[in-house]
Amino acid sequence: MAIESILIINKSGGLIYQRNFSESFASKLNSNDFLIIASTIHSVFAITSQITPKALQITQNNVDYVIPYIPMVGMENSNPQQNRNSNVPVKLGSYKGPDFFKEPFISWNKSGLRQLSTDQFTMYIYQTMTGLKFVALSSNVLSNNAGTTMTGSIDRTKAVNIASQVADNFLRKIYCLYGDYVMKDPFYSMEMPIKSELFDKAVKRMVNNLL
Amino acid sequence: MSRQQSINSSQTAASATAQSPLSRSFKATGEDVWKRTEKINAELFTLTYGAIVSQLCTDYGRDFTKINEQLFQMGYSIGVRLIEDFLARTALPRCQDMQETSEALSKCAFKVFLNITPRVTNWSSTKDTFSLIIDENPLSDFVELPMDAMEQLWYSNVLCGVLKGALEMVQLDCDVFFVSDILRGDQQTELRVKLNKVLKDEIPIGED
Amino acid sequence: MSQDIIYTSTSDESFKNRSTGYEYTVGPKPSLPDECNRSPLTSKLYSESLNTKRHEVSLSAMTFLFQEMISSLHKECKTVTEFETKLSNYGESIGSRLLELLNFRSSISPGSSSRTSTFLTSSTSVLSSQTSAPGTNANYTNNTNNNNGGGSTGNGTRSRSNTGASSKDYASSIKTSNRDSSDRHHHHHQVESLTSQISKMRRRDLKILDILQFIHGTLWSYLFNHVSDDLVKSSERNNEYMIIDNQPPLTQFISGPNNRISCDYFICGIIKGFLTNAGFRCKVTAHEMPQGQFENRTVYLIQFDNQVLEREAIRFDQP
Repeated sequence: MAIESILIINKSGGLIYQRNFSESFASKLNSNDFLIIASTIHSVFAITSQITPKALQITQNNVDYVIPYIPMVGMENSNPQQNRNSNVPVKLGSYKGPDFFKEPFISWNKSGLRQLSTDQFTMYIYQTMTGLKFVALSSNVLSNNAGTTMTGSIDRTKAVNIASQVADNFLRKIYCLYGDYVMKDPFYSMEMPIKSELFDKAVKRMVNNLL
Repeated sequence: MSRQQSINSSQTAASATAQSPLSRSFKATGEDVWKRTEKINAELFTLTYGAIVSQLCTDYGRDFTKINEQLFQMGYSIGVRLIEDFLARTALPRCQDMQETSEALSKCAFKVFLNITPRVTNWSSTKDTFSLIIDENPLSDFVELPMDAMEQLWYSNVLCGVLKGALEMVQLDCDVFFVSDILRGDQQTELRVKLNKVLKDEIPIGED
Repeated sequence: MSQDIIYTSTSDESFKNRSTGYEYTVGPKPSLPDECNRSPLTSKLYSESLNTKRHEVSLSAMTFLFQEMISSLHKECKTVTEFETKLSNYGESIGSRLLELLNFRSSISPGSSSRTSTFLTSSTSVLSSQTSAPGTNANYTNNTNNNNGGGSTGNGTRSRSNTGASSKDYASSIKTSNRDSSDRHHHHHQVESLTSQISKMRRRDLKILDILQFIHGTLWSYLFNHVSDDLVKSSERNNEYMIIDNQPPLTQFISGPNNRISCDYFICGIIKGFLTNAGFRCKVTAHEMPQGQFENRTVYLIQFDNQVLEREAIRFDQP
């Protein structure tokens, strides 16, 4: 899954972090556009939640809040092509490796918007119990590849599910990085934009490992 | 569908059905996460906290009421940050009542950060107030209070602030305070947590 | 005066004033003037052992406390220098305690065993006698006696041979694995008191290189569970030494290289407190020197006062 862009939105809908990771559609947007996108996501998320009860009546069977643990998403050796620095073990800040967690977990996001797909991009949202939103924009589009046959559409549902689970695993890890490099930084003020170069680096490394 | 049922059932009872990740007890979660956490010498932690309290005693001219307040304030600032680390680490679902909250605090939070599991006791009849008995307190190891401080200083008051701040971030408005401390010559160290109200309006939309 | 003190957290000043202290071979003396006025409450500290409990807390708990300490300090300080000095002071109060504690724990004879501990009691008492005479003649006599009485420990011998080697080398890395001596206190079983396991006290370090070895090995292992990554003598100035940490754990989450280095002054303080209390007056500063993988690699530069070098020359150099 290629990540184009990552956003972090605080509980009042303010954009506190945004980075692009490739020259794509996301890089054509300016910072003002992203501020608008952030508050739009915040509102649409709430609206989705409002209309969920009706939606649930129709598609209740598919609702599953348990996110399976997918090993090593975004971790150093998840990508064998990459040259690993063999002599120095990868340190994960305050986490003891090799991975940040290793259990399935429950999504805190039960009725809000989790995934938005268009022909150009897919957006994934992970919301924490404190109301933070971690958003990933991916250029991967599943609809075109899947074809139009019956089996194609079943595969597609599967693929969409897996992609969504990978995204949840990935975004929870970004949350872990946030706990280390943002919350433990005495020079960060709560609710304000994140300027930590260490957080940047750690996020970037994880995005690159995901390719 | 079956999974969803297990979620619902475990929301009402602390010990839930097997297999679902939700059913993992707080104890197991706490111990697991502790294993996967980087650690550091507890004495360095103790000494650092000691240096902070001692500096406050100098700064505030041994006005222990102010020192208590200051420690609480520091704790609060820690708590509102620490909760994010805690949630990222454990991914615990929201507790449905204070009984669950007390377990989560004792067996997960205290375990994961300080490697201790305070006893939960002294429930109020309304089930919204409980005590944590801290037998082993890494903050106050090796500490002995001088006479003047013994009557007024809550040496570990930073803990109250941490709990207050952290609980507030998950929309629980609580009062947190010490009622006794071994350092003051009491029998045990008892921390009281009292729920004022659940800040329902602030629960993130999309969670219910 | 004694009522102005919180024991664990005393500042250096009040510390030194408590000279009528506790003699570890005798135990608490009820007849001390200070103790008479105290409450009848018996002190648990005195009856507890000095041995390490080897307890751990999470790095998160420590870094959150550290983070809050820094941000409160940062709010009240107007200049970077003021900030670094104050942060260093916090460290000093810790370092000065650790000197005696670690000396004690390193004195345990390898065969003996022990259990629960509290270290501040003995460390405070010995500290007071220690700080009274840094670098004076009395101090020397004292130590000579110690040497004669105590004989040399394995650690001492090794360090001495080291001194010979590195005095020839410019800027030579004088790191050795002090691991065995530092790890000694990790592995022992369970007896009541620490003193019962000490047949002879480890000799106090009198030479610059010996005390630096102790910091590089024992102190670092105590603080961070590994020896420091290097100990280097400056090739330009002979009062300068460097202790190097490739990945300082406490400051690893702090953004901005300059901010991060300022926060490393906490560790500078620990080193300084440790050395100053041992009679080696010095200045300790932190510097960022990234190398390859290690982007946060930090050099703690120790600059000894001239008097320390002079003393060492008089005492140890052959004419």
